[in-house]
Amino acid sequence: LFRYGRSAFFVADSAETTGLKWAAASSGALTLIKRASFSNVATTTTTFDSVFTTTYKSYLVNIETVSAATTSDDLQFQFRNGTSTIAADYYGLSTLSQHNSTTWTFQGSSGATAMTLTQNLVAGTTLAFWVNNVGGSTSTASFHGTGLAFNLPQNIQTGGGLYATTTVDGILFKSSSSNITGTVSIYGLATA
Amino acid sequence: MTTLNEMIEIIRAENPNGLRAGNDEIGYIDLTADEYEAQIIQWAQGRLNTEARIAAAIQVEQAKKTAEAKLAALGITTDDLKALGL
Repeated sequence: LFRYGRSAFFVADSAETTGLKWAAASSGALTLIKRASFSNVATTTTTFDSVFTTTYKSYLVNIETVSAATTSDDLQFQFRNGTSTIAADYYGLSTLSQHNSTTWTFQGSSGATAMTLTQNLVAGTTLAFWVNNVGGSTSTASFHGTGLAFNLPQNIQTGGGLYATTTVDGILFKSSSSNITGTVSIYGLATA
Repeated sequence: MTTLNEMIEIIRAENPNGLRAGNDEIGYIDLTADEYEAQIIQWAQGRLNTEARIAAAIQVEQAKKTAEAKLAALGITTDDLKALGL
């Protein structure tokens, strides 16, 4: 990759026998929709409202960093529909494994009021997950992804969905029993 | 075992100046008194659930250690049990 002024270029395959052939870089398949940081909040409330639209079919939610005031807390999310928080019908499973144990911890959500992504929300926790079936007409939103609680360290695998047919256009983050601090970015994935 | 009301008081004491929502970009707003109370109750239940989960995990670990001690007293190892397909 080569940057000249405000333009980016990359070395392309070339039939030229000598020298280099330059071509304009792609604008990229992932488009940043929203990035926000929050500090000591009970929930992110409306911060990530209206991020899911008909523009994309898949969205990447990148929790760059998140932590809770009480580090034994769970990280949870809830989908949003307009100004309403959807607080029912979350089903899914997160599997957690720590560096010093061969035992898996299973954190299930079964008809829950929120989806639990991980336990032990220590500083340095990061997760990224894909969200599908959102932003358009009524559907059953689903997600899957991975993460790391770096300070433990603990690996995280998670997946599940909202087993109710509804429109989802936003997402809210919170912990199970204290304030959270973090930064989250949400991207749309182009289909072409 | 902490009761729900005791946990509500613990969490209320942790947040004597109220709670807020929002982000760095648009700013923060304080939760109303009703929203604060609802959030504290929800958090209290969440922390009780976590406490119960941790207590259950400790109990499982202790039961495992007790069983291993009993096997050791009989001269049996976990490898012996694996050999039996257990």
